[in-house]
Amino acid sequence: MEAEELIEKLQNEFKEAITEIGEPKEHRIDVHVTPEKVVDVANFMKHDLGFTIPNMCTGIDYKDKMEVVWHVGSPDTAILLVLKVETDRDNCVVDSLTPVWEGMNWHERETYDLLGVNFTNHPDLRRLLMPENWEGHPLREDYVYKRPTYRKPEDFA
Amino acid sequence: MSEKTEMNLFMGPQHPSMHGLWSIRLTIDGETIVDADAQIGYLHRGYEKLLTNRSYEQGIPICDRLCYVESHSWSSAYTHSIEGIYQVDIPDKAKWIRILTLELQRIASHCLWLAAMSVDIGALTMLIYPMNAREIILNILEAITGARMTYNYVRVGGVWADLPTDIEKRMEASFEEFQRLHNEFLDLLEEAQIFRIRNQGIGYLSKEDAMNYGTVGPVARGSGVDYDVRKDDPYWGYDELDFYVPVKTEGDSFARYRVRLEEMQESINLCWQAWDKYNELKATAPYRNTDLPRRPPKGEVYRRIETGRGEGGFYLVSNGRSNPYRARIKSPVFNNLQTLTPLITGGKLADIPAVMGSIDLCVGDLDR
Repeated sequence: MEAEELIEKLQNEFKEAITEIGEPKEHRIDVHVTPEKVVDVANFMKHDLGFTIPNMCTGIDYKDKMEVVWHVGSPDTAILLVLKVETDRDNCVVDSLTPVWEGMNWHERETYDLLGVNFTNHPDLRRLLMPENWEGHPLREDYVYKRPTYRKPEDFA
Repeated sequence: MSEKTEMNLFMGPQHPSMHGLWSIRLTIDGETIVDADAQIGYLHRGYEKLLTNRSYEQGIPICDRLCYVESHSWSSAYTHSIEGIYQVDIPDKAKWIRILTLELQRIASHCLWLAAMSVDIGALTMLIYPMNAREIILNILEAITGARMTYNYVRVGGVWADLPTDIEKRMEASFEEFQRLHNEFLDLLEEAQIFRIRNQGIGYLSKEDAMNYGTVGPVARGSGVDYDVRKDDPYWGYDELDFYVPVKTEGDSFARYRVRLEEMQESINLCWQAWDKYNELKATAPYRNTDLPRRPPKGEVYRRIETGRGEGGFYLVSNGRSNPYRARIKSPVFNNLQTLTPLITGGKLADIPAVMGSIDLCVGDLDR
């Protein structure tokens, strides 16, 4: 499927949910979606457009907003669809896409861990890379490093 | 028995068959695995923060340390992404040099994997044979780059130095020796029934699961997913070269093992093709593009290459300053290890080393 065809299909299916589709660049198509409709768009991409391979998920802290980015690929084409959702920075809640693509599981856990994005409907939202009792989310722009408080041996009993 | 017979077991990080610092929290019922939960992050060094705190060029030698087994792939992947941010092309000569060295690095990486994986399943003699073969390949890389493990060879816009003059002779002699060793260790492994019993039919991953979990590289290709960045999204000059991508449909540990072995042969073929293309160019042709903008433009880029373990890449966001605003490393092992739970649940405890070995872990780029 060519990039123009994909863009046309997406625009016809979701007239309001997709706020903007970027110019295809280096086999990437940016699809900006409103937070409410992201699961519907994802399902359409997977089942109707054939984008079955989850590639990665991450977040970018723009100081005034938080942007969550999912990359998904397809076995038939070199094109990557880039789903982008903007949310409030202080109250980061986004629908999880793990129910759609199983492989987003750890990526979303990492995004929660490092950037503090809360994914609703995620099956297992725990910290992944940092210790369980870590305070704060280290990749946020306003994060201040504090010496971690480690658990004492008696806490393990 | 009506009593609950399940038991929790921590496997790793000090278990000898766990490569590096990670562990699995297992729930077992007798010898059968009921549930598994991977515990990673012991080696998290905050690479993404390290990269955003430095200028683009300063990040390249750090990316060499992402995975010590194939450092060249990672510094190349980062440089490839930086070139996307700067919007610069690299000269033809640099392309062929990069392909040649990357394929050499792939062979070296697969050799180390073969040594580690064979030891995991008890073939202790097999530790030295692939290590010996890897040494031969590392000698060529040392002649090209001047280092054995962390090369720091690529630069934004090309490579640091041209190939040495005696490289053809070295490659001829080394590949001949490598081929001899390769046949030797094939005899040792595949003629032995134990190796096949421990690998065939173990750790089955279906094609649907392989796609749904986002696996990449030899793990995906062992399950019948025909996806290779070199073929499907060609970078540098891979579209001008003639090679095939081995794909197996069995989906077990043995299939993943066969895919990697065939890839090694294909990499030697690619090395010679890249060398031929390099030879067609003039000896004085440039190998580095030094015409770089002082400040990169704003924008974002995600560029990927096929490392030995699968698709690895960097997602960079630039806000016009000399350091990236956000860097995200796409690690192939991170995607592949997510299949851990479906791969080993229902199997036996003793199969874990065989399955984990066939995934080819590198905790360095798993935890970043």
